[in-house]
Amino acid sequence: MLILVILSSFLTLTSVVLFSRSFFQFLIKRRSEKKFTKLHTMINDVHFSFEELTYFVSLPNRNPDIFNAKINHFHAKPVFRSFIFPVHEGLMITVNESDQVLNIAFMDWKHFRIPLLERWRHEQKINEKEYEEMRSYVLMHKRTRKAFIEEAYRQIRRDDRILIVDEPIEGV
Amino acid sequence: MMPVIVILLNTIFFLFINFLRFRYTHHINKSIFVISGTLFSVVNAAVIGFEHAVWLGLIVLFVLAASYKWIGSFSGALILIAIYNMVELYPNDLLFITSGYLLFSFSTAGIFHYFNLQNYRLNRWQNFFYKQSKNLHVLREVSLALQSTLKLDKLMHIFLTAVTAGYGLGFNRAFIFIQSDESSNSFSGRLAIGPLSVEEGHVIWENVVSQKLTLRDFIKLQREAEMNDHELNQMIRSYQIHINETHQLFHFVLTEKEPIIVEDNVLDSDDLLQSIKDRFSMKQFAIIPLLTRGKVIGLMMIDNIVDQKPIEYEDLDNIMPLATQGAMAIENAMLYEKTESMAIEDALTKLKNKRFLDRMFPHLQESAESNKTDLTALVMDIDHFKVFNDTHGHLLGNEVLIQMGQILSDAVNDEDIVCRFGGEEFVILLPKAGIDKGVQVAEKIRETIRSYSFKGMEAQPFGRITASIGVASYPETTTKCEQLIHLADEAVYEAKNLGRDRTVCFYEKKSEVCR
Repeated sequence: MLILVILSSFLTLTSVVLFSRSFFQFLIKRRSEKKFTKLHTMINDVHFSFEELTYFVSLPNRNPDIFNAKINHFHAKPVFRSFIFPVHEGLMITVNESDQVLNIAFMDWKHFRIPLLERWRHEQKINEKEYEEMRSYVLMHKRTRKAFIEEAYRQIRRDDRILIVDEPIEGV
Repeated sequence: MMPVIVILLNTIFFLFINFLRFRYTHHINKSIFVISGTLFSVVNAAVIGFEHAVWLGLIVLFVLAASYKWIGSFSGALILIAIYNMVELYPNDLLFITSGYLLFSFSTAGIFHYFNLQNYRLNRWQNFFYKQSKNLHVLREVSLALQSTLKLDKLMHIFLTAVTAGYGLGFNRAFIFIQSDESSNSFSGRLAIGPLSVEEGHVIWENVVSQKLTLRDFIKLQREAEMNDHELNQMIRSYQIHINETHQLFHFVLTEKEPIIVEDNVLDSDDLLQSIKDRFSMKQFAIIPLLTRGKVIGLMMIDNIVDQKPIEYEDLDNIMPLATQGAMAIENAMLYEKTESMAIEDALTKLKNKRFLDRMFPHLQESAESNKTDLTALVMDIDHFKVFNDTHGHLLGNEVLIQMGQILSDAVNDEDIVCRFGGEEFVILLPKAGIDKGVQVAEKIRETIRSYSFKGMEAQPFGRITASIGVASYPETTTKCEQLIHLADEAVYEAKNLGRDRTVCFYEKKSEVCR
């Protein structure tokens, strides 16, 4: 019996540490999806802004490891702080190239802006906690992660001549 | 069998509660974690016997340390020891257990504290780094964009875009006021970007985000931005600021050349501040001087009408380098515009000069030829003007030329072009106007000059100043569009030969007197 209690205590505490983030994500997903459905909106209809994406590399970037990396080598992973009381910090975009992982950009959750949610909050359709959870949900969503990867990929390969000359440039 | 089921149920219950705790706020979440952890230990102790409470108590201390750090951990340890003492659970080992609990509390709380501190520091550095990185990014893009043009409106658009776009500094609205030529304390509204209300702000922002526009897109979309903010720009262009010593905050910005934040609740007695707040529905806003070579050439105002995010002094520090860079570019563009205008303007009459005509005529010719539209040229020469100058001197002659310039400008529409060709000769170009319209305008001018009371005109032949005008029109009277002015000039000679004070039209086949 004692062994069972020791074992259960150990496993329980380990589960708390290991699975809190998954619990947290699952609950946010469930609650946010419910709220979006209630407000007759699909996640695909939610537009968000890339404007606060912070890059760790200069743009455009001609470093061959980054510039030549294929888009499927780019990854976007949610970043959390704390295991027991997880806090969603943002989305990290990395590229796996030449056996090394390079940090490309980070979208801080605090600065992730979704106009629709801000309008709903202003219209009091959602409260502050729901607003935060829904922002987290959108930022963690697969579609958002893909969109951020595409944005980072596009920015790395962008043509800055558009800023230098005052006339339209072919193909830009 | 029963105890095993209780232990399993206890474990499942603890995990379930741990799942649910994320539904609530951070504080409730922590409380639930502590309560469920304590309950888990108590139930387990009840099943296997309270003599095992000593190590099950460590689980309670762990959850307390994780939730409330030092205070939670040490108070938990003291409470547990007090309970053990009260129920005489470990009478002989209490001192040993107390030491153990205190040591455990110290270690676990210390570890959690260390991680928290590291996270806090990391977070602070990250925030600092993100802000710096963003500012650098904005400065870089804007520096590149600012050097792309010398057009004043475009420059101001780039500058305000950098201040207002989320990709830029992210303020909701920005206004530019430029110092008037007449007084260094007067400023005229020139350009603004931003919404008039919170609701409008949300609509515009949703459009911007759904179109996935970036800073560079905004910079290129000058016309669209002006359309979006048409009403605000109309308001700003009709707004003037006159600053004196009674307007303390504005005066401070002008004299100290420092930016300031105007709080929502300050200085309602300042009529200028109050007028701005009322006119643009402003609450808290900032006034930033546009400085170049130590001189204030304009003012910029920023506010956050939509998200109501307070403007902080750190924001002002970030905006100043951009404002100074923008101010330099704006001053350069203003100087360029002034020089360019001087180069194409006749200094005496303020009409356009021959240089402008030489530059403009090929465009008008190309447009008329390719679009198959009319283009009419009028060449006007003042009759006996040499006599006038010889009699009255060049000073009075110049006076007549200035008045002639005014008569000509008043006689034509905005899209028509009036130039002083040289001496007493003027050229008027009427795009999309045929010969009839040309003759009508020429006659209107001739009649006005004839009846105008010029000083010194009594000494002229017939006691008045008159003018001869030649008219040529493409394609009605000539197919040689490129020679339109030359042909109209020929018609002037014809008018002179026919006795002056008349309008003559040039016809390709033969010259014909219209009047």
